[in-house]
Amino acid sequence: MARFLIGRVLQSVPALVGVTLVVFLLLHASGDPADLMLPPEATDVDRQAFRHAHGLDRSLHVQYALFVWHTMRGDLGQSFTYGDPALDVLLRRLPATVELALTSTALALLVGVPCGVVAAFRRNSIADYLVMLGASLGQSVAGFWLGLVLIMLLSVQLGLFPASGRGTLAQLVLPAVTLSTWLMALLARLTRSSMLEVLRSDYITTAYAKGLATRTVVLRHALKNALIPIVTVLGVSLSYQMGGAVVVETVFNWPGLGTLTFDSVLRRDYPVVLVTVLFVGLVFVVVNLLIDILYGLVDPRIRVESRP
Amino acid sequence: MSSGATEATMSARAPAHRVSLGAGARWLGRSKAATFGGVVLGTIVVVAVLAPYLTPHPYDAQDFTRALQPPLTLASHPLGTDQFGRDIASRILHGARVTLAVSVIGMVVASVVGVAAGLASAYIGGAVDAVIMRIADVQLSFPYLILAIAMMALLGPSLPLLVVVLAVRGWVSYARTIRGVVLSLQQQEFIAAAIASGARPRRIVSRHVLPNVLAPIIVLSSFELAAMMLIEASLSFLGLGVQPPMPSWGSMISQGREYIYAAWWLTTIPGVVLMLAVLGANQVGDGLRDLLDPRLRGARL
Repeated sequence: MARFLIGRVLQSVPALVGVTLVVFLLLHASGDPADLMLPPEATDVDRQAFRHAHGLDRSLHVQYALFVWHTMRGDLGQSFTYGDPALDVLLRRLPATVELALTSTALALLVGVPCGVVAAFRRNSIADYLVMLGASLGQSVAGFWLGLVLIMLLSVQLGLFPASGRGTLAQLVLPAVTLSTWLMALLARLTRSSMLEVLRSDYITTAYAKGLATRTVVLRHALKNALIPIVTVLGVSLSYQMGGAVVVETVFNWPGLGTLTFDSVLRRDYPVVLVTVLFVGLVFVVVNLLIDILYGLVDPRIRVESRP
Repeated sequence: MSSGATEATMSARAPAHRVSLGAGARWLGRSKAATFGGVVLGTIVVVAVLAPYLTPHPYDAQDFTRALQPPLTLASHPLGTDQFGRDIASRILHGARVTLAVSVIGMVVASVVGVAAGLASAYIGGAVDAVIMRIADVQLSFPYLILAIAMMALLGPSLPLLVVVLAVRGWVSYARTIRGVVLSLQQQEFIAAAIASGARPRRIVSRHVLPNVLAPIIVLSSFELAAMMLIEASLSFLGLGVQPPMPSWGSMISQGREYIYAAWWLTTIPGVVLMLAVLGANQVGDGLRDLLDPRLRGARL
């Protein structure tokens, strides 16, 4: 198992190098941060000093090599905008994003999975049609637009929830609901099709034949097996959630990583952009690793196969 | 000659899903959701193509004496006007042109690149396969929208770049699907029979492989079209997609955001149209998938 895990971690190194390299090249193809960070009246000497101070006067491959070297030693550079270490800037914004991501994923699971179970169990009923209609709409709606509509209805018209900011539970509601919609729809669809498949299988017939209660059959026998594809999707969905967070955080002025990434890209704050990209990539790798382990726990067949 | 005959009989047994147009249309007609999707998407396409003849006003004609008129108040502006007095209906129709053009071209580029990469990966194998699949893995291990934002912001928004950014998203799904299908086809007896009967690789690809990968490509394309319309809207909403004064549903929603307290229709109308278009493409994809390949039922993510 340890060997399997180490192998998986090593496999992710090329991905992280590739992603940071692409972003690094994009950053450097896009113009001189000295033009953006310094006031227009700055002299050429000032520019040179700024470029030298941030190592921007070296050749590209030296700069990237230095970035990798410093990163491995835990030094991720200083933010051009804030002057603080880039990692600190990121860590300040992290709690807000974690809060939003966990709440919206939990919401999606708590609503999406039961909806899918009901839709599968009562196939072709009104409940099934409603769930599938809702799921189709949820997968087709643009997150940022849904956010604005929720603000218009629940915030402007009814005054139930604040339209922006972070701090109170009420402020969390609208962004979390908005961000959860896509995943909720996906989970409902997936749970339904996965359950339908499982409900057709022989061991479900056997379970019924043994005289077990419907409730036991659905929850203990069917849902447990139907969960396997759902666990996999949770890992994949994380990257969508992180991308979606940029847009949803912008709509609600949520002070998280999404708005930080967006602002830093616009400001050409190289160190912050690179550190967020590296961080998001790492999170993705770690989460998928956890999913693999979880997968092994849910499905013993996989656990056996991965043993050397 | 005899080898050609053998090949023909073998290909008749091939599991290619040949569906006649009439039968296909009847089948899709039975599925209410697919019909709905087809009608909605078809209407938007027709209206987008005919936009210059249908719109009562140019999309950028300003009239400050008639700014922020709600829908259904002026006969000349059925869907109202925005803060510059521009006709919303005209901007929606022209926005459909931009969105559809960019998404469709992006999808075509993605499918051509993706299919080529998938075929190369499966046929050449070895190092080529490893490199292509590794690039795909790298791309999948990172949130696409952040990459798209970085590309658009750092290289400067333009329509050609937008197409490239959309194609970057789509090629991976095509490449992986095609690679999978081709690898499983290579195990099939009818391919072995074609090779044994002396068919050249080119003939095998065009007669036996392409018809079998066509179904997944068509299904994938409807879902990709839907996803690309959403991404274009997201980027335009953030100010990184279609640039003003050219209208896009995403940038219209973004402009309406400042008037969210006073003029609900500025954000609501383009959002509803966008949702219908994406829903239409997704429903068509679902319908086509069930029609062309029942084994894939429920496979959409």
